Amino acid sequence: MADEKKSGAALAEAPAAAAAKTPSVMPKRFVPWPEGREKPRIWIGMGTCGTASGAQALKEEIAAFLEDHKLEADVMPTGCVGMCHNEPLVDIQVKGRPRVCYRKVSSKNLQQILKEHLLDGEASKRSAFGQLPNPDEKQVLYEGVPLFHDEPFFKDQVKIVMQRCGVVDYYAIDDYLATGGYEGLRKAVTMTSDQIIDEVKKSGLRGRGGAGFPTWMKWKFARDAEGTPKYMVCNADEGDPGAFMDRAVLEGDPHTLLEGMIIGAYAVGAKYGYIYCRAEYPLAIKILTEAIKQAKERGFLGDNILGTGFAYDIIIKEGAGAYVCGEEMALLNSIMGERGMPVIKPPFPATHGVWGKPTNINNVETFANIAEIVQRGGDWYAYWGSETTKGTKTFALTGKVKRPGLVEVPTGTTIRKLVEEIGGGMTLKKVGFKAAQFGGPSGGCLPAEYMETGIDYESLNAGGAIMGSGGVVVLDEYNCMVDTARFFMEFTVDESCGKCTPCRDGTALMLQILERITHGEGELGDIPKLQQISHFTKANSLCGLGQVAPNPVLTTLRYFRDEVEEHIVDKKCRAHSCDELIEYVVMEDKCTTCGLCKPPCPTDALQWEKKQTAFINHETCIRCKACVMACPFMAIK
Amino acid sequence: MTTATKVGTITVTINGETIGVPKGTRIIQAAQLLGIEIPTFCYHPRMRPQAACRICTVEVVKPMNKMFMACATEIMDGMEVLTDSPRTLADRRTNLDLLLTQHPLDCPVCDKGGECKLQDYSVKYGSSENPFETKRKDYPEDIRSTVLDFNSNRCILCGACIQVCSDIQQLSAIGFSKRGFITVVGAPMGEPLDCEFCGQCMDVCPVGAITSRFSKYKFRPWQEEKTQTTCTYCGCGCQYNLRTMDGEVSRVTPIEGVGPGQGSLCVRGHFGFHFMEDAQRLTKPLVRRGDKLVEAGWDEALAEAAKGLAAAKAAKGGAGIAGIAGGRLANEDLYLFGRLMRNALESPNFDSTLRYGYINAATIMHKALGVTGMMNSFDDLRRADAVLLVGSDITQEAPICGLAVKDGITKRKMPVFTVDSMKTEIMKLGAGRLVITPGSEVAAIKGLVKAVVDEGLIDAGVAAKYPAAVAAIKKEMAGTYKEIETPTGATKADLVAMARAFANADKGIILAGPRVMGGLKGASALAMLIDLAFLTGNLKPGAGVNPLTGENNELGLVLAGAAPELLPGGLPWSDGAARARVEQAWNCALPEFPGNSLTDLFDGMREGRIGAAYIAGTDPVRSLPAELNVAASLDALDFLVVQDLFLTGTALRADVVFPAQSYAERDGTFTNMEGRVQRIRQAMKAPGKARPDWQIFSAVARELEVPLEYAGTDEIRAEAAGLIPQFAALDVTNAGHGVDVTAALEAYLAGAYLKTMDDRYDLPAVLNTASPHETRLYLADSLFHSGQMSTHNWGLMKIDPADELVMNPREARKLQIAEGDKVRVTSLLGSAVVPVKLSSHANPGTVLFPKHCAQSHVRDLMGVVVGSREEGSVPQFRFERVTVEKVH
Repeated sequence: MADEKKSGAALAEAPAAAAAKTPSVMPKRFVPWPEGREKPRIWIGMGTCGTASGAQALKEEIAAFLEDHKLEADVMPTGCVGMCHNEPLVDIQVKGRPRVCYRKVSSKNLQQILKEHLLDGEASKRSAFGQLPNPDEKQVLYEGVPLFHDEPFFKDQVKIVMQRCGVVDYYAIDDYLATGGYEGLRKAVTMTSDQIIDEVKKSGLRGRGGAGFPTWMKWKFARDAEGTPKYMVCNADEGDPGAFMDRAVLEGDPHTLLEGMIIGAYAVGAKYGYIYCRAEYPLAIKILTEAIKQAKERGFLGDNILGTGFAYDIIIKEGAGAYVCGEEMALLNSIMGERGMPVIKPPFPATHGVWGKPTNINNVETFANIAEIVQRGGDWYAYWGSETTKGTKTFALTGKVKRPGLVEVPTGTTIRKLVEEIGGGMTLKKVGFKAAQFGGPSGGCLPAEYMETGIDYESLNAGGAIMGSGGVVVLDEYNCMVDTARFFMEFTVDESCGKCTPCRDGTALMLQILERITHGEGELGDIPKLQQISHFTKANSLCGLGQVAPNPVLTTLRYFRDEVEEHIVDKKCRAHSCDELIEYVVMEDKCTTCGLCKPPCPTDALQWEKKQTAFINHETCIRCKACVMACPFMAIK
Repeated sequence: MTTATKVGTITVTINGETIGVPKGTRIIQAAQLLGIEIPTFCYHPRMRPQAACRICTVEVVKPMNKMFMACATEIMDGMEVLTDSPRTLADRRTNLDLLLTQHPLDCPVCDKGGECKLQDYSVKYGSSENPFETKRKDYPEDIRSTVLDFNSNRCILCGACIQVCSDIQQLSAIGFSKRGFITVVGAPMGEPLDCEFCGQCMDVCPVGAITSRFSKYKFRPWQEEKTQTTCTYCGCGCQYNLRTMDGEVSRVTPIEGVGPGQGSLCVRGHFGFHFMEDAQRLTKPLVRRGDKLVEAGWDEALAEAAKGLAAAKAAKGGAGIAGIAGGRLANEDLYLFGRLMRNALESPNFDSTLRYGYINAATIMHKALGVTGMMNSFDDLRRADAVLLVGSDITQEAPICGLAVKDGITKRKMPVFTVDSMKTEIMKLGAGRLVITPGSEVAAIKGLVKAVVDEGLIDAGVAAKYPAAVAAIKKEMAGTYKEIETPTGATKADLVAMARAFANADKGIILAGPRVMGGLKGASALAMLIDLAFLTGNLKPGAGVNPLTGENNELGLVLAGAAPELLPGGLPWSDGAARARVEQAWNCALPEFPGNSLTDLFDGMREGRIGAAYIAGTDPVRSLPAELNVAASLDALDFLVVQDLFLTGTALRADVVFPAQSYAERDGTFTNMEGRVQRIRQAMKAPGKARPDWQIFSAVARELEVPLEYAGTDEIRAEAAGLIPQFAALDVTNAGHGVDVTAALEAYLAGAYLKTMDDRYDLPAVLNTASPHETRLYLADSLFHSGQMSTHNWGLMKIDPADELVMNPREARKLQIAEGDKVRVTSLLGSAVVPVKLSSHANPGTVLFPKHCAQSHVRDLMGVVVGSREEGSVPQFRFERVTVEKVH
């Protein structure tokens, strides 16, 4: 307890100290042009996202083009840069000119891009997203092509975790080394354990898995725990629906993760490590396996790391598809071959972890920050971010925004900036912002009044949501809030391990009530019932999964109670999303009084008499849509 | 009201009452000390908390205000807890409401109704109206296993059953499948449950999700009568409640925290309760009329028995009568049987089933250490630093003692080393094992002693204090490892590794099973184990040597002096002072020389030296192989009295048969292998006119005009306690922390230890070398059976009909034998045809057959070697060389 208070005080002092310093420079990584090379270089965004949008076909077409024109070029895969809305991406660089990023490349415009860029020596302006001049090299800029980093999507982003994602070849350790890789480790092995932990403490880094526990404290507990060997485990079981931050790092920059883990292992005194990665990320596992192999070959992993005698080895453990295995105790059980079920704490993993030995577990994103913190110093890192939450946070921005994607911003950035500036505003002009859902099934929906709130652990918690792993779903007026809560609850019910009563039975019951409400069978008494079960489940669940599972329901009741009541009392869904609550009406101006709609109605709810507009009786209508289908004039809505 | 009681180092306040507790105490334990009830489903005092059911939620107000689970939360100094605050009660109610929402509420037809925690808590903490509503679960009941039915609709998924199976029984026969709301409990992969059927999952189930087929719909808890009694199957002596309804046994329930098992039971104890009500029970005395045994009245039968015995005594003297007692009789019966034989009939020929092996434990333990039975208690086993288990499949033979060993393994990672000729369950869990050739236990033990000596593992204190004894044994170990490796098949490296690991433990306990004492040189083998404990410094409180018993009251046999070389109190016949005390107490003269042992008695019967015999509580015709000619010996007798529960093979040859009462129908005491004297109590009425054994002995004595009259078993025990001090106090174990063997040990080291040294370490010849047969047949103990009693249980017979030869699967494949095939087993003595069961319990080259099975006459294939007088005259017949071939 005393320690926690002290750390709080230390965090409070930090901004004053930071203000006195010169602002930290945002790191931008560029792959240097190899000396003496003449051949152009081509990068294809081939993360899971790029591959899904057709990058594999592009790769074959590029190879065919090069062969047809007797050209030689290096074609390399690279990870995700975050622009989901512009996939697939192809970057091309020729000697002496900046790298140019092309967006929405398809077989339609690929030939033109390659022709203009490789044969004509000019960027193909129509498809170019931006150029990335490397300030360290003399490069002649292309005219009429915007600067990549000045584009609104990137302008406000600060990339620390994702600095190399989409930039380097993910299979090449040399790219990583050329962009400052393993410098943090080289520095770390000259430091003592205390110095490293101190640096992490100064940085103010908190667990990016969602709970926000100070990382340095976790490391200290594990280091001070008795027992050998110790384990440094990475939680890469990213399971929130719509969250893919960790995947981007695993695929785009595996060595950042490894470097962070190795530094952590050095600080904690760990000898072995596991990366618990979900089996649904096959590409990530493939890339990681290759990265571990290369790191061992270069002496960054193994029995004698950088010649210091320090030994650390990493094994990848594939998860079997259970969301709850992202919970640390369930994860440890799963590593040990047990059923993936959480276990009561204490004892904590710091003292009794894998195989009963001291174990430290951090999330992928947490580890991805470490190398930079050690290399540039804790103070540099602490410059970024809000008062209580330092550094940056990656968000998977999805939903009704124009530019969905992966964004990394300093904590404290407002929701408005995230949605309107980086995300480019709402998809549909006339349909307004309704809420932003943070933290997936463990989080909650924050309404428009939170637009100006800076995002950090504390502000989100105060609003009833959580940071979680960083999923943000933007909802507009066409999204039903009850149905959204129901969706996340359905996920939790499916993924609850079944060990403790509140989570197992509480969530199942909440789901049933929510389903009833969305089906128009709700009662006013359902709202206090939902509240009762929510509070019970929050206070009494065994692990984090159950303790936060009611959040979607609670925030919905807190901010959108009128919408819930509308479902119950008026049997109406204002978002026109809940099927059973849609009322079909005949539009008088379109109705030709033909009467074709009458025969199909199975309940005689549709009443029609010759030369009169049809009329639907809502009490007997079963919403089968038979009349809608039958009307040739689309007069029934 | 605040009452501060200082017990430990930190304080906690629960509902305003303050108590001091030791650090590490959990909220639920402190509440128990204060007498505050906290409801629990998944919590069990003998297992680590799971905190799964969340019903034990309590509100902590200091140091932070939060809901905590009482079962798992360790107390912080100054903590304030409320177990009945509105928030606690509301959460508890919601929890129950959630459970009851899907629970089938079929209480009227649920066996658990009346003792169901969900029912009780609903009344106490629930609401009368459940606000929630949902579809109830609708799984079909899983009734595929022999005993246990799983009703997933009633299950509240607390996981206690799974935990008891994995942590206490260490089988993990059941587990969760699926997840979340649709999780169900059952055997893996949806297979029918086929396990050891200890039934502990059912015992810990707070609701009626797991029920026993043997008791289903046969009882309502509040209509049952329950009687605490002692289990009658093995030497563990577990305490349980025998429950009856309308005079019939309905079920057996454990008593948490009581007795040697602390609330655990095995399949025999839990489900073997049908033999008392078996239709084949003897109900009336029988007397021989020509070729037939006909029913008679007690008076007629008693008069006839007395007449026959008196005639034999008149013709051949007291020594012309033999008495043979079984280890299933109660302490009081045995004492009285001894007095009848030695006092009323003036016969020295009083022997018993001790002769099957435990006699060696009785004599050697007393001679070397002055101890009767075990040096350690089951609690010592739970706390030991290492256990060496030799010649016992402990989880089958003494399952609850096995659980004590398992407890050490789970909770403290206690290393267990096993030396045995078959692959046992405990071997798999243990830290080291030697799988040796059947019958070579003596050689293996010698190998361990040699390793201790050669590797310099002798305890420094022992070497300094007893240099002469150590020097003598060093001299004896001059031979090579070759002479050990050849008969055992164990390597020097294995022996040394095991000896080193065991010697390095502070408190090492040695457990010796029936294959040590009952082997060819049983007495020497046990003496060697004592040497091993002596050399490694393990003859001290908390450590030691412990012989395991087979029958439930073998220690009672020892204490009653039921062997010609023993006196009441387990003292040697040669002890003149003790003999004088007995003569004084019984007011009679005892013969100076001990009588004949069992095999001599059979020889004597055939040779005409013995004219009459009185056999009670045992069936030598069934338990001994044909080579001993037991049946012919009994047929040669002029007069035979048999007293038993059933018309056994022995009883068929009798002139008078007395129907005895089972343990459930009478009072008395049994002595378990630790030396605890524990009560049995009448729970039901005996069938017909059966009488307790002691009353029959007393009545026979009356007819012989040597009155041995008692009002009840307590009076007998009170008299016996004059000679047998162990009988004076009930329910205490003499074994345990307090046993100091130094004085007896020093006397032994100066005398018999040195004298028998040469003979002791002479290895016996390998068994039956003359036989041309290659495969080794071994008579093994079964978890499910022990003999007459167990095989008269229709329940146990359903679980394990077990008249099967166990073969190694790989070896069976070579001979093209599949499970269920019939094979012919041939030894020098004949052949028998039996079905085959495949299991890796049998090593290649070895086949196993259950010891208790008499039907298929496999036992009659066994050659018998009777040990020398020094080795207890034990008839050794557990191993034989045979050939197994498929019958087409």
